[in-house]
Amino acid sequence: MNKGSRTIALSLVGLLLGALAFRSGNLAWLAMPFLSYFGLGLLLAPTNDAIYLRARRSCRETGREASTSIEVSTSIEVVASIRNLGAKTIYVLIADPLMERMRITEGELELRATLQPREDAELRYVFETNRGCFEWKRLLVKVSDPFGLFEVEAKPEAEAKTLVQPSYRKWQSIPLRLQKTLSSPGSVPIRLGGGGTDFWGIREYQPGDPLKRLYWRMNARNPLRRYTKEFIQERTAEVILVLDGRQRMDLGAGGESLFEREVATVAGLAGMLIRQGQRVGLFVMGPRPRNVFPDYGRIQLRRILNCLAGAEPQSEKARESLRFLPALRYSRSAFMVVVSPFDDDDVCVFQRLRVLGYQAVLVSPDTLRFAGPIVADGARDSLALDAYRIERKVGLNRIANLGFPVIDWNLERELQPLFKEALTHLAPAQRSKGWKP
Amino acid sequence: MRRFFFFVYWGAASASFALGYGLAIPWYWESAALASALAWLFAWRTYPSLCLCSSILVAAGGLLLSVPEGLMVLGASASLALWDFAMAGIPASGEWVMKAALENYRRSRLPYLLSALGVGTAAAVLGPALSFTMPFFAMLACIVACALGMDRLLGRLRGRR
Repeated sequence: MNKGSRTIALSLVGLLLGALAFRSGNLAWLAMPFLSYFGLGLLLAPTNDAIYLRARRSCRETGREASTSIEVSTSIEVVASIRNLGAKTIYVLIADPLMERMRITEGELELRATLQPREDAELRYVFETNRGCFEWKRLLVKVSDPFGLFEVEAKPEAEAKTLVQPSYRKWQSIPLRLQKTLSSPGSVPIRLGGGGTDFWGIREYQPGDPLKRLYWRMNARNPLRRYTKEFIQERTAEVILVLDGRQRMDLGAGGESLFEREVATVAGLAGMLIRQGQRVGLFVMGPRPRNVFPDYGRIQLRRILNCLAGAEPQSEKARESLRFLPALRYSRSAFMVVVSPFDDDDVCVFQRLRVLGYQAVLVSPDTLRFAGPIVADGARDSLALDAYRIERKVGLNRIANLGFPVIDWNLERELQPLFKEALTHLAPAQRSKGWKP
Repeated sequence: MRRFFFFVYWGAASASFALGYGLAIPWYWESAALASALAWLFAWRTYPSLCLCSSILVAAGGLLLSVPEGLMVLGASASLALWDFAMAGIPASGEWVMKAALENYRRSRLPYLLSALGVGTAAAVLGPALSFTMPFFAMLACIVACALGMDRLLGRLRGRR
C-alpha cells in the first residue's frame, strides 16, 4: 500500500467508525464513493506476472560551460525509455535517482505515463556537473492501477555510465630537484655527471666516451692528454600524489568545497608532471582508498583524472588517519606530494616517511582562511581561533623540522609559484635540515 | 486545459458544501465550507491528503447537522476527484510536474475515475432510499460468503507484492 491507498483506506475506516459512533446510516453511505474508488483500484491493480517491460538508457555530453574561474560545468543528457511488451494498458511512474553532484537543468527525474501495448515512454533530463562518475544499472518503474493506489515495482535493466573528469588549470612546468630518482633517463637533473644537456664538468677522457664530447680547447692546452665534457644526468622521478579524502578534512564555505579545490590542484599537478615525463601515481586517502599505480604518459593522466572524477570525501572513524598511507607499496625513491589540510595526528606519518627515506612535500590548504566567509565577525579574534592557528603552525613546523618542505597554502593565492619556490629554491642543506614556513 | 478539471472539481465541491450549509443551518456554519474550499485552493499541491480530510469532515459534519445528504455526498465525491487530480501530479520525490505526458496520463484514467465516483455517488445518494427486508438466512449466507471471500482478497493483495 502506498500513501494514496492508505489515505483512502483511512478515510473509509474513519467514516465507518464515525457512522458507528454516531449511529448514522448516512455517514456509512458517505463512504460509498471512497469504497467504489478503492475497489476499482484493487480490481484493476496489476500483477507481477502480467508486466513485460523493456528499458533502454543512453547518456551523452551536450556542452561545457565555465561556471567559475576554475570549474567547468559539463551538461549531460540522459534519455531512459521503456516499452510495454505486455498485452494490457499499464499506468507507470518512471523514476531515476538524483545522484551526488547532479544539478538538474532541464526535464524531470520522474514521469507518469499511460502505456498502450507496444507503446514507449521516454524520461529525458539534462544535468550539470563539475566532475563525477555516474552509473545507472536499472530503471525504477512503478506499474499501478489507474488511480495509482496499488503499485508493483519493476526494475528493468537499463545500464549506462558516464564519467566527467575534473577540470583544472594547466600548470607551467616546474623543474624538480630531487635527491632520489628512478634510474631511467628523464627530465630531473641529479648531482651526477652523465648524458644530460646541462654542463656539469670536465674529466679525463676514458676509452668508450663519445668523441663528440671531447673538450678541444683543453686538449689544445694539454696536447698529451685528452679531456671530455660531462653533463648533468637527468632522470625520471616517481611522484605519488596523495589526496586527503577524509570526510572530516573536507570543509564547505561560500558554496565552495575544500576537497574540490584539492582535486583541481592534484589534477593540475598530475597534468604538469605527466607532461614532464615523470612516472606519476595517485593515492586518495580515505576509509575506502582509491589508487592509481605509478606510470607514464597520457593514458596514465586519463587514469588519474578518471580516479579523481569519482573521488569523494568519505567518513569512517576507525580509519580516519593518514597512518594508513601504504608507503611501502611505492619505491623508496618515490617523491610524495601530500595534499591535505593536515591534522595534528598526521605528524607521525611524516616521521614514518622520514624513517623509510621517502622524499615528500606537504601542501596544506589554510582551512581557517578558507572558512573565513562563514566565521562570524565577532569570532574572528576569539581565543579558540588563535589556539587553532598556533596549533596548526606548530604542527606544520614539526613536519618542516623533519626535513619536508611545507606549503601553507592560502587558497586566495595561486599554488603554482608557492610549489615552485618550495621545490626549486631550496638548497639541499636546507632541505635536509628543514624548512620554516 | 490543465486547470480545467481542477476548477470543475473544486467548483463542484465548494458549491455543494456552500449550498448545503447555506440552505439548512445558520449562516455562520458556512465558514467551515469556506475554510475547506480555501484549503483546497491554496494547499492542493502540498497537502492534498489534509485537504481531503477537511472535506470529509465538512461532509460528515453536514450530515450530522442534517444538511441535505445529496449535496454532502456530491461535495465529498468532488473532493475525492480533486484529491485524485492532485495526487496524479505528485511524483515520489515531491517535485511538481506539469507536462504533456502527465496530461495524457490524467486523461486516460478519467473514465475510470468518473465511473468509480459515479457508481459510488449514486449508491450513496440512492442507498438511504432503498428499503428492503432480507431473510435472516440470506443475510447469514452473505456474511459467510464475505468471510470466505476474504482469503481470496488477501491472497490477491499479497500476490501483487
